[in-house]
Amino acid sequence: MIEIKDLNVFIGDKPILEEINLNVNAGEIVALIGPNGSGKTTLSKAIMGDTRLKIRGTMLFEGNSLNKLSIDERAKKGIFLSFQSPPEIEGVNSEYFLNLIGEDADRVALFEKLKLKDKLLSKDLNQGFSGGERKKFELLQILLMNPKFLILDEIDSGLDVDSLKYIEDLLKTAKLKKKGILVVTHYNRIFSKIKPDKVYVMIKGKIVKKGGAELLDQLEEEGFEKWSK
Amino acid sequence: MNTPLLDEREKKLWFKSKERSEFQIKGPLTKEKVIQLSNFKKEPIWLKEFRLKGFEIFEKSHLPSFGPKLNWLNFEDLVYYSKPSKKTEKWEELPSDMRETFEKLGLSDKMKNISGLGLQYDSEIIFEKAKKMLEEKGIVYMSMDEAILKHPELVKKYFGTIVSSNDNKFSALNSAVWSGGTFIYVPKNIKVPFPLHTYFRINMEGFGQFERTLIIVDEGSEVTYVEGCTAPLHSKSTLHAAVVELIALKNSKVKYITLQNWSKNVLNIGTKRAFAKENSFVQWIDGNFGSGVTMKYPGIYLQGKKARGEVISIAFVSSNQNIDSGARMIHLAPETTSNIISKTVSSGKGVSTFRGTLKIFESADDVTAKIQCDSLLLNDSIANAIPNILIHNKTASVNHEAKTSNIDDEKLMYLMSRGVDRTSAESMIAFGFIRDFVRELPMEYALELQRLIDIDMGGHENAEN
Repeated sequence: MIEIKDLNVFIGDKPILEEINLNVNAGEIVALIGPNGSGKTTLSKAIMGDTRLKIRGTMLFEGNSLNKLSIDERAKKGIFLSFQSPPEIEGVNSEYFLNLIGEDADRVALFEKLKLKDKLLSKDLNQGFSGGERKKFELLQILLMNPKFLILDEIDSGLDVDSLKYIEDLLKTAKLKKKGILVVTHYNRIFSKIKPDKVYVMIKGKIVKKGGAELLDQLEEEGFEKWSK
Repeated sequence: MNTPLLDEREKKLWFKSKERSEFQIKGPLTKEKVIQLSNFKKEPIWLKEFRLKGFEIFEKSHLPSFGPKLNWLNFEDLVYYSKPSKKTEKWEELPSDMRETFEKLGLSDKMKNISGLGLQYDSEIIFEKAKKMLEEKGIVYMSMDEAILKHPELVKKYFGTIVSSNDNKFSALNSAVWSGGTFIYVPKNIKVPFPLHTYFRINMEGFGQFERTLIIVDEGSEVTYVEGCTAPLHSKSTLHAAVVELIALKNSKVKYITLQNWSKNVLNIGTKRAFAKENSFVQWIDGNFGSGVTMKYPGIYLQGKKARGEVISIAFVSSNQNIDSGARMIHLAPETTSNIISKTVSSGKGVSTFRGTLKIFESADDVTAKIQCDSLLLNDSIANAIPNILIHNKTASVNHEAKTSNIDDEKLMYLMSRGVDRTSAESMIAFGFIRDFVRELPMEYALELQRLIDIDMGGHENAEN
């Protein structure tokens, strides 16, 4: 589904990511794990097409190059990035925005399912939302847009145990529906029930280790220090 | 000293009539022509004298020493008066970009008839209905020319007292050759039940170049007035110099909303002043989208204790535009409050300047005043902020903020990552940026404005590519 080959990412002249190779296939849950500041969010944004980043290397989605596509074109191809910190968009009403991105979906049912309060609809997008509400709103948008490939950047931070269960359900369903899922996290709480098919460990802008779910246990015991020399 | 109406020889000398046989006054402007205009309009002596005094000041005064250069303006070449004709331009004769904009705004059906100066809006029935309702409450709402004849005592009491002909060269010119504009009087303790707007009377009189508006709001009353519209207006005239005088008596509330979208050939200079008496609240809500050059600084003289004044202005400036706008707040009485909010969105190679004057006199104790001017920049545009703050009373609490920012890339990326294209995302963010302004608009205008901004930003995007 998504293939990243020899990807180097710069901000200005400063290298942020070096020689990244990463694959996510349809129906796969892939963990990208690493300490804070290791470059995970940068990689997520590079896949989405952040224009502030300079890119060298190849990114393929369903066999086609992403490099020249704008952010919205990538979104329309079925790539979704759930933001670690969704920004407040002043003056854009939440309900208006939800209608814009997913007109046909049964929003009322989804609101109930996610235990979201209706009053959020009258607010501006992400403005005056609690941390948890912002994350749930990201989940809601995934359900409305029904993307093929999901990047979930620290999706569980700020969420309570009930909502965590909801994310686990979402991962299960997405896997069944043959979607590709990249779970970006610095902490393996999210994988207590659902194991990833593959794990990439990122430290200081490099993938230092690739393996199966067993890597998570190893990390749990030894921490990141072992790889960060 | 009534001069008879013009004979054919004079017409040829002074007024260019061409194939349309309408009454026109062309430059160079002379005392005689001012007299002729007054006679043509069958005005009382006091008004004729007022015009002549205005003309005298106009001749003596200089162009503004600040702001956009105006020395290219040739007063000799201007048309100063042209009798509004009912003749309308054909829809097909309009420039295609304007037709497209009307279509995008969803207004094309209603506005197939466009006159040289104004939109022809199918509102005669609404207007008659509204007028009847207003008359029952004693509210006077008519053209300034009509008010001169029908309410001479009211007009005479305030006309020219709030904006003096001495204010600037253009207010003097307006005094000399003004025509058209609106007169409103709201009697004591009346709340006007709906916003009064120029839509109501455009098809009767058309827009003038030198409009003169006077609004008198008596004690305890409230009114909202909306001038202009978001739809683009094509004008054949180079100079538009309006004067608006507004007086808010004790405990009254007045909101004056302007939406200006002139074509880019227009130099738009407005002199707008208000007197705010005890415990009254005056708001100038000023939206500028069109014109090539605009100079406009709505002012409020806070004359009565606890009077409040607010100017919220926005400007969308793109290439070939120079918008110089702002506000003047003059605190003359104690416990008065003022608030200036200016928001500018600049794209292309446009220039926008905020010019704000805040003056607190010694007599005004415990004043609270706030100035906030924010600019949002796209591409190579220029935004200036020139505040001028003079405080002569130590008890004043003054707060001044100025901020220039670019469109936040993170917000742009967020919206685009949900499939929104760049132009729409930018216009959504710009709309959010001017929310203080939008909040003050009646609902239907807010919706129109959003569509206008979408079109505006879309145009800029196309121009870049």
